Amino acid sequence: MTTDIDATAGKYLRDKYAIIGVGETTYTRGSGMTTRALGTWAIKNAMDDAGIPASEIDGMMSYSGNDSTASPMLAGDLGIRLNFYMDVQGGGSSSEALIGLAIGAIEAGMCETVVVFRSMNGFSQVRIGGTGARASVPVGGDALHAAAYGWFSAGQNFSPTFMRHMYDYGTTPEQVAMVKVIHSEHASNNPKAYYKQRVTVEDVVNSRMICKPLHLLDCCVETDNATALIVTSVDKAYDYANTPARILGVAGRVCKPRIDMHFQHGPISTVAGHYIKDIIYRNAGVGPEDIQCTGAYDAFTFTSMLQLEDYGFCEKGEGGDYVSSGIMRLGGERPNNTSGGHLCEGYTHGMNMIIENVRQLRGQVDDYCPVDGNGNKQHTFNYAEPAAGGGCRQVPDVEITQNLGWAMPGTGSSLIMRKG
Amino acid sequence: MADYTKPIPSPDPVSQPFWDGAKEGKLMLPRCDDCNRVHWYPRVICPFCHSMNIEWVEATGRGTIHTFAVQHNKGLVARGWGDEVPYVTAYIDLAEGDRMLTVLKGVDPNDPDSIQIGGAVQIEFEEASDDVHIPFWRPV
Repeated sequence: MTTDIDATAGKYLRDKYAIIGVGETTYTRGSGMTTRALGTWAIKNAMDDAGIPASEIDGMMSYSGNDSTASPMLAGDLGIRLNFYMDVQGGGSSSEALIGLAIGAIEAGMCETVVVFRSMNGFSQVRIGGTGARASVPVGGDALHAAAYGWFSAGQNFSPTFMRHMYDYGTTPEQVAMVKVIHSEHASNNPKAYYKQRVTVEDVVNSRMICKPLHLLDCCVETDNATALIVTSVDKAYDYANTPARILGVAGRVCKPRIDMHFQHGPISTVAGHYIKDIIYRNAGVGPEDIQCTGAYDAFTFTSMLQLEDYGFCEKGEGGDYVSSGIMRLGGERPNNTSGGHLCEGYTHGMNMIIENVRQLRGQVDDYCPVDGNGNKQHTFNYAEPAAGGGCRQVPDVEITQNLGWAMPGTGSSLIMRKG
Repeated sequence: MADYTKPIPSPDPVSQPFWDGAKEGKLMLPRCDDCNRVHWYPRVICPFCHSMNIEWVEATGRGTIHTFAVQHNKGLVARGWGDEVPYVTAYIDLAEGDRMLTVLKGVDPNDPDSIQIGGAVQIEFEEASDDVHIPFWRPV
């Protein structure tokens, strides 16, 4: 048997696929819509963004936790005839993983162009934690490690890891609060953001304690919304309206050892990024030093910090210094979550941070800057608040971005894209 | 007992020896007869060496606090626990190996600086029902 390619090499699919369209609904609390309607709306916006007709989409994927509507319904509503669809269980870090699976579906010849969506009424229907629909879930044997001690929500599950990081490395609440401060600055220049108000370190550490060490403002916003993006091969990607965001590499749902109870494997202040970095940078052919803009998942302030540290953007244990240094700020060396992320823009289990990076790579972030006669943004690169004459959130000359998806301390995904 | 309103785990065949021990105030742990390592939560196959020769041993009931968090929000905690906030959840490094999630008794959730990571703790059991006594830990 002869081969003309080394299909086992990590670089095999590097740069062969792209995201050609992105879209979302408004980020609200109380959408007054079903997840079916929200999902249809977001996909329509992504199709309009790409300028792609329904007849040229033949794949659909989504993820949810029994809180969404499946692909066949949305395809029917949109007049899309599917050659492939798959709806999987999953929350945070699924977006990057499904982009990888979409590439696989196309590579296998099952379909040609895939829309990936996440639709959720994360505030008005199924909320995170012990309230609402999840409160009555029965307790099974292994749940001794959860509900019997009142554990139901993400913040409860993650906070022991955060506390141990503070113990091991001297990380302070004030350092970590800077994640929220910076993301709030970014959100103030994002017309879509649910929370546009800029906050201070004092605002964060003086907000009420939810689950020590998490203050209220260390926690993300819960919102109702849907998001969608469209993946196709580079061969087709240039047929549509926008400069494609080309996919250099992806890593999907990489886990720490003993992932059934990740905390059994020490050190627990190390997160999945420690393992992801060995896959994603190999696949993409770049390293952390090449990344100009990050989308480090911010379910909590701490999650951004822990990931940036374990991916190698700073030394282990120095995440507190990294996030409080100003590097992550618009105008800094490597801005993070320029939309305001989950802490401020809205909560979509990670897809909104990918959408933001696609727009960054196009140079067409939807901020308050003026639009010229051709419909293109004329960015000012003034990152002050709109009322102070700023309103921009475009990173200048951004060529390479990375998303750092988080499911929980022991599981994550990543996506590296370049300007097409 | 009847007034225990918090979630109660359901013993299954794999974990039954643990619950039988708990009723007698003993911490029973599964230990691999081949690699000699203790694991938690109970499994039929040793997660370290894949042996199925699992034996149950009575542990010392001693451990240390690996890390902890303080639960302040009624809306986030599972049913029955809302009235307990603030309370302290923790991972315990068992003297015999592996870690156990628990709620710490005998600590002041309003003075978290007084709770020592690395501090010694001892297990105790609370009778949630006739069949299920739930393990908690307390500083010694």
